[in-house]
Amino acid sequence: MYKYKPAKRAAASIYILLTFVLVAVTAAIFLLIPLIGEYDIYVAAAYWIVHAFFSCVMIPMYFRHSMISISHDEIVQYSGMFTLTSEFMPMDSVKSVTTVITPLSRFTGLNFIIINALGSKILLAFMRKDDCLEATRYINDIIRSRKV
Amino acid sequence: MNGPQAVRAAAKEKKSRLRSFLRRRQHPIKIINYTSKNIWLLLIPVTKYLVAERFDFHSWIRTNWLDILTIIAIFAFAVLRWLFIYYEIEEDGIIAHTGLFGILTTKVYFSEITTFSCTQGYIYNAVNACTMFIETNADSIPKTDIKLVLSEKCVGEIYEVVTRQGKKLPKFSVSPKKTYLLVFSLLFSSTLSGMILFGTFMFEVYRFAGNELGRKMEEQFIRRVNGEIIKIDSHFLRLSSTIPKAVLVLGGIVLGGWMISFTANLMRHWSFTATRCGSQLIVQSGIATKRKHVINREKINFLDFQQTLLMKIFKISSVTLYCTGYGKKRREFSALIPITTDREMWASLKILEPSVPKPKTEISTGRHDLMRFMLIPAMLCFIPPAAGTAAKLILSKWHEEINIIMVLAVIPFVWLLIVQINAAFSTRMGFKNGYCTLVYCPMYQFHKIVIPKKNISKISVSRNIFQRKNGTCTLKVYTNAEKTKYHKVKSLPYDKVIDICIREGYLMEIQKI
Repeated sequence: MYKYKPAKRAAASIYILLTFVLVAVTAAIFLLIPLIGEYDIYVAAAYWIVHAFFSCVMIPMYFRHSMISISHDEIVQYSGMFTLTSEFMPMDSVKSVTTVITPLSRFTGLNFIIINALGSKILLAFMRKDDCLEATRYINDIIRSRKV
Repeated sequence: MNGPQAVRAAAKEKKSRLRSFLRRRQHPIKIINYTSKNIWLLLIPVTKYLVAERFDFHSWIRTNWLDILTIIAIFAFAVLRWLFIYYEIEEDGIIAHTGLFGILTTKVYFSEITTFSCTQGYIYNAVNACTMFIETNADSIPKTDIKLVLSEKCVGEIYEVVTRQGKKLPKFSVSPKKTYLLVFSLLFSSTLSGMILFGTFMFEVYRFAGNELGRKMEEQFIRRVNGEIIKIDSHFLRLSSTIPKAVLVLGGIVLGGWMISFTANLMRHWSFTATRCGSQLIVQSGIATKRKHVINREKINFLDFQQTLLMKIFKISSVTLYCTGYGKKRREFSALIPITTDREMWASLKILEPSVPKPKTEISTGRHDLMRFMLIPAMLCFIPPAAGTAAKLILSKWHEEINIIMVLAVIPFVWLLIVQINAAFSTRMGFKNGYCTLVYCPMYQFHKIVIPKKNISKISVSRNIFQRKNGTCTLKVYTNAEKTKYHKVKSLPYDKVIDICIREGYLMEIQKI
């Protein structure tokens, strides 16, 4: 049985991306939207609140609650922010695996596995590259052994 | 062989070669489908000029040669497409050569077919053509695996091959009682489904005739209907003098929707027959549009016993069957047993699907969950009065009309509240004899789902903040299907759900959420 938690590097990457977004949106509010006029500070403040909530509450919650367990019989994923979800997929249902490895993913942690079954799928997000490759290999081995 | 005999033999051989070449092709009516859908828009002016020039072909061709050439080119291209598309029957499957110039070759093995269907509308009926659909569980092809328009004879030939395994086996047939069908369709046809049917019809008109023409036809239709209604009202009913027009329109929509739904229900199910023959189910239905389906029983994903609240009170239900390809086409239901009494339904189900057990559940919601089911519908009930009050402030002259519309708009929400109160006492789930049973009511309709355990592809248990406090959860059961398909059962006791999941082998690794 394999157990994985999302890569901490992925959280760091998301924060870096969010910082870029924050700078870009703030610049857009102050420089590029003349229609807002004197209300730009309120619009920016509203955006900052949403941004802060997302960064300080949602992302830590997601990374704290997320856990993936892959065994010979089933794939279990725990995830969620306010609504916590456990998803169970019997290994017999798994038909194929799609792996998404982004460039520089060893440093960014932006690796994903999509497990496809008839009528459903599970997305295992933000995995370490080694974990991602190991899990893919393990699931593919099980599918292969089943077909022989 | 002497001279004339040899010539005759050669001609005969050529004829038989041509016949065998055409035999595997689609019905020639498909050529019209392959031409542009607006080809007739080009034909009208060309024909008009021919008539204007009093059938003087020479001058007609001289002046309209470009238009005529364009039409001929379109038809020639359609014929070319038609020539390249054909099918072959092999011992173990059917091969279809489709796509532009027949470049796509699809082989479907008979053992993999989930549904073999043929439908015949009015026009196809007149020219002895049928649309044949062959479906499998493969989801790599987004639409139908094989779809061909063939002559009745060719479809019959393929049908014989597909159903040959059950030829010598006994057949068990079920047909709904016509009186039940008439009475229950009359009582339980819904306005909403009527409106959906009308919407689909108009969409088809738009698709067929193009947007501009579709809009014109709709305007003409509405104008004519309006004129007729005003005429009837002024001569006989005189309703518009006593009841506000807005209310009359609403009433008309409800009545019209119900009428459409009732007629469609009746036309679909009047000649409905389901037959079990070995590992196949053969379903025939329709008066105007004739439909025939051969369903592989081993590939049925699940059964859905459907009831509205009124049907529940009167112990009436219908059974829908979910199998890839069955009921997929527009304006089609995937019925297994059309509307009938519960007793009749169980008797029919025993004949058609004897392996399906009577649904057994283990856990259910109850009185203590009432508030959770009532909350949203109760809140929705306040929307029409609030909207009405706001509207009265803006439209001061329309108070009476707004009041009536407000009352009418509240009715569906109040009905939803009543339905959901009932749902609080009848939401259930359980596993028994290798089958999972889920009973839930997402909106107005109650669903009792019976899924073989092997067809469950995923189970998801989720809890929001409130559910974590009151010990409940929302269960989603995903089933084998072409698209993502799940059944959502809310407010079930979390601990019991987890216990059942562990017992049924869905949870080896448990982490409480």
